[in-house]
Amino acid sequence: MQSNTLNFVFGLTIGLVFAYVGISYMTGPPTPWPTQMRYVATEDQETKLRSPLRSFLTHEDLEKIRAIVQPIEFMDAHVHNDDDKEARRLEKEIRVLCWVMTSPENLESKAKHVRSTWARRCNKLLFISSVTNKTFPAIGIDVPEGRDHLTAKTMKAFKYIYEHHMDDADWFMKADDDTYVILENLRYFLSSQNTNEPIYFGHHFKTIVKQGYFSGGAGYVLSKESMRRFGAHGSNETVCRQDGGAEDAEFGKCMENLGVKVGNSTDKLGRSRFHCFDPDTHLMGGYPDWYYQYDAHGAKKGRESISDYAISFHYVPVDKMYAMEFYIYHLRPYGIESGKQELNQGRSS
Amino acid sequence: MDLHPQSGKMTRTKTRFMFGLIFAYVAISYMTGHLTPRPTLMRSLKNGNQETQLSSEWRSFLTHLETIRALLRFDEFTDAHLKNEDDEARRLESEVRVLCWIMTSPKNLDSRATAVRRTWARRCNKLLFISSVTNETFPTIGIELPEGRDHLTGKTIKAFKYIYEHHIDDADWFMKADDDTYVILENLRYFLSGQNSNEPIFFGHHFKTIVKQGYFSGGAGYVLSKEALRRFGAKGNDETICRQDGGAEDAEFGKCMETLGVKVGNSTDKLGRNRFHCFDPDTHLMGGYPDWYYQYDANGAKKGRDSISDYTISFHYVTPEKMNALEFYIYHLRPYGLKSGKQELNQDWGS
Repeated sequence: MQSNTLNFVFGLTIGLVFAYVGISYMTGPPTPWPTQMRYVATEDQETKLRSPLRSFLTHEDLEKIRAIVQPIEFMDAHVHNDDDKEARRLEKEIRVLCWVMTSPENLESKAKHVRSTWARRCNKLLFISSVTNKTFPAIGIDVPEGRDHLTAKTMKAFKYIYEHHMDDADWFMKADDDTYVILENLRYFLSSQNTNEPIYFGHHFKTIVKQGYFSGGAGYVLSKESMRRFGAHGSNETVCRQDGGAEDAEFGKCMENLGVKVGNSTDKLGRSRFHCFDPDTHLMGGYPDWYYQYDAHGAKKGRESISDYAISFHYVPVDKMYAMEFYIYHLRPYGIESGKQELNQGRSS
Repeated sequence: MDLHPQSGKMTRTKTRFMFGLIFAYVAISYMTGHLTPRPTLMRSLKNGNQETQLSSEWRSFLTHLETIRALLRFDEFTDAHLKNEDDEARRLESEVRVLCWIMTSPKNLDSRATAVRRTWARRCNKLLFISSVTNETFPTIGIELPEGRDHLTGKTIKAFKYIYEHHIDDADWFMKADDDTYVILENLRYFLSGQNSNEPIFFGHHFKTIVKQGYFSGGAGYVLSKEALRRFGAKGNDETICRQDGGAEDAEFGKCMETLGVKVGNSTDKLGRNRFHCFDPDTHLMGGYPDWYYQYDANGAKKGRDSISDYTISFHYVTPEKMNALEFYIYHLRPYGLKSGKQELNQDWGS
């Protein structure tokens, strides 16, 4: 009898030892507390940078690097306990290249903050300006600044991307440096679309072009097939106007001539996802008169007209971008777990 | 065939040994949390069981109830939030009952008070609008005092007295707010769930001046425990204890609370961030503070996203348009694929 119990205890002990070793191995070292982690991370980066690169980098270089590498990222990400598996899955599956149209004088004042907030969620990010800036970095398209050359800037930008970055992504989005984009919602929408179709999406205006066109400021996103067609024929002046006119309207005509269709991005409840004004304007409806003639979906206003999975807003100043980051990724009502809504329609008409 | 006695004994020994091994492994796994039942699965199981148990009559009755409730809620867009899991929020709603009283005035009823009622205040367990004039339609309770900054103290004192006399059993916590305060009730309840309503304590945006223990900004809203309200009800009308009118409402009320032995509570979260805010979100995010704030704020007048708790409770100077926008940001706009988890942001009980 006693030897049986002894055997049980013996087995228990061995089992405990195995369990302890096994679980320690699987979970790894304990994670330090958030505030400590923040400072520890800083120190590590400092010492890591200093030792091997001491001879190559000045203190100024280090400051610059730190400014780029450490945006306003408060280290509370892992306190969030967020389950972002689905978002990460979509990030790998639906690669988005974002190119942000900017200018030399806007690099520090606007583009920098775009990069610190939403744009870091793009799979590939390019800033396109009239002058190359190696530090920022920004790609210089050989076009003078100003509204008269926005069309050329756009044409040349897409051409550049076609020539150098076609394989880097599945979808190609243009945005301004005062556009705010929610990448997770863009990918969710695109997951219901086919990039081998000649199609593109954005905030639909029904005027000027027969099938309509997309607001430049709200951002628009091209499928791979659209990029191919543009790359093949887009530099032909008879197919696509190379400069002058309104950038978005001219690009819209260009797309139509190439046989690229205007896609529908409203959600299942008929609400808009791309927005050519800032959130407050769409919420309160303070639209300029022309909007009522332009908007293809009835120029609706109010909370019920905006999708929960909204993708973009325009005319967003820098401080508002940081506020949006706060509202969308941090501020939460305790006890309400936002579930997955099925808001995509079927294949785009 | 003769069963070898030795081998039989060995098998039993080995069995016992393996049994011990497995038992130990399972026990350790369970204790370290690697073998806990998956919450979402459990919840769906629970829901599934509940559904099949309801008869068809009950189901149709409940559907009608839902329709009626939906009609009664102002501006309640019935969009596809059906997949939201708000069990936890609903649980706290019944456990931590909050009475909200909104300080308003006749001229603000149509604009501000309406916005308050249409947005955040409908989440209070009990909601009262207190004005200088009774309005049966809105409805508001009229405290017989003239409007204006000189009588805000009187309004507050009388309001709490009224609530003590008529509504002390309707809630566990009693919150005062202005008609340009925006409150996230879920986060208020979460914070209060870690507090004891039988303690003489109250919470809000802490100002360290004027009163010895400090006091709370009126505009950011402050919330009293039941014991605090009892003490106020017992002695609050004594002029030697609590000034009955005049002065700055929040400072005078703060002195009153101190005299009654009600403690100023700490509502910062585990990462040291404020939850009650005496300015609007943009001001706290960008830090455009007036000079006086640096002498008043008890938590270092910090700014930026790192200074605001994810489970923030209140903001002040919020216009009706902004209230509408906040409803959109907090309860509707979402990043797809990011399921916001439950954060443990409360400090230990009673700090």
